[in-house]
Amino acid sequence: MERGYKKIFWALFFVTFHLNIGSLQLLPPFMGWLILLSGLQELTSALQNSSISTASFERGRTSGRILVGLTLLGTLGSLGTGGDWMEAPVMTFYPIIIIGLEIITFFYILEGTHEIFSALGFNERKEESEGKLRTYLLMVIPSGVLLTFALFFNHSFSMVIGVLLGLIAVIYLLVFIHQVKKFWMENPLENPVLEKRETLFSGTE
Amino acid sequence: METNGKILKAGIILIAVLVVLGYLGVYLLTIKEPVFIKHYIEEQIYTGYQQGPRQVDLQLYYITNAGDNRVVSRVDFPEYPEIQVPASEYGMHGGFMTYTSGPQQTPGSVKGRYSMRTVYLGFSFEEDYYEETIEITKAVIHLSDGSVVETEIGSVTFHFDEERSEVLESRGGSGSGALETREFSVKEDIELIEVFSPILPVIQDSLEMKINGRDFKDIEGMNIEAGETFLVEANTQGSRGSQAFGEELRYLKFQPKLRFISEKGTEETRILVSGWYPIPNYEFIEIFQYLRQKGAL
Repeated sequence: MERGYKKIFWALFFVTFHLNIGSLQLLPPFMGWLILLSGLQELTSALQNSSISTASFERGRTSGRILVGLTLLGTLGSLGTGGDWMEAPVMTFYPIIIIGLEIITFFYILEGTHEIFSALGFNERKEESEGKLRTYLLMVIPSGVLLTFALFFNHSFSMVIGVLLGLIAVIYLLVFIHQVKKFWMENPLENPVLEKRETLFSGTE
Repeated sequence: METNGKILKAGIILIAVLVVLGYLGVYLLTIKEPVFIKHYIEEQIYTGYQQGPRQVDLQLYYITNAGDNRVVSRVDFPEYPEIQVPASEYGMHGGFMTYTSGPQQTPGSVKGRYSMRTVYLGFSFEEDYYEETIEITKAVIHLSDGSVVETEIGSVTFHFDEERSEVLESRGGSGSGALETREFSVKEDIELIEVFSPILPVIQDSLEMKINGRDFKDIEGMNIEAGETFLVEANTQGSRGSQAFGEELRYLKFQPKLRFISEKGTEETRILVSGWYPIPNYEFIEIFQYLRQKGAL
């Protein structure tokens, strides 16, 4: 579990903060989304023999795959045209489509996390993850709306506010994913068959 | 978790609707080719005071889509194919010689879906032109992607005179915004004929000008004796203000001249005032209305 969340953490970090050497992007966004898919694969594998549903993570993987495809297209297109195609009218809202899919993906990741805590009876953690997801959504959706407006009207002020709000939402999410990772590091799932939580996680709450 | 699901659903639907409407807007608001505004410019060039070709810098203004990265690389004038003019959107002095490490930023003032752009032209007239009046109304615009746009640009007129009339001597004046007052002394008896400008039909409803208190349209036959002075009071913005030409976005630069008969019986001219209207700082909605009115959308 810990490895899965660790990968998701770094995936979100790399797709948000681009590391460049000169004009060369070290890790293009599609690589970040591939890391996320790998992280989700780890989570579903860790839960495969349990009775805990992995449906949310599976949905997250579906939207994650679309993100890999779209960002790969974006990277190839930019390489092929020297970035010019991002100026094409058809690409106007490409970033918003990516943001929309990102919101859906992380919704399912947090919903899956919530389901694990719920199934294992970690009520405090369960409620926390629900609250964190709500806060994230209430920041990232207005950010998406503002950015859509900003991209259409080339409105700098809305762009700055939208980006800042989105950035705060992502940092908030990163902190939460880090906390979940830390939780599973301190409380490893030794036996994937989770029948009696008390036996496996005694005294962890 | 149910509430979160509802928030997600509502949020994604809202963003999706905005994106669909946005694409519809992009499709409807994109102009197929740059739209040049109408320019009404007159330039008086005196050729008798110095040697060599006469340099005149001019600007042409146009509207294009905000995402249009092309820039004007050359401008030809089909009415005067022999006139070769350096053209740049980066300014005439230094723009051609700037070196940057990254890609040069596309010039222009972005207003919503559109960008207001300026093309700087550097005219240079040799002696061959000194006998004629040049009026340019059309331009062939070459863009950096190789595309070509032929367009009406209004009326740009260059007058060539050897030297200004010395019968009238400017005694100074004052100006505040569009209001200008100038005084001239007269060295010999003169009879006024008219105030003229090639763009007078365009500006006459807006230009308010009085010569010794009389409207400039009503000065024919007016006599001024040697040693007298006369006062020109002009409101180059007229009573209708800077938006007076609101039906169509225009750039105006004019120099109405007084035509008179001197004591020697010769017809002479002298510039009275200079008027200049920068293009209004239109916002997106006004540019949209202008383009719709022009049928560019």
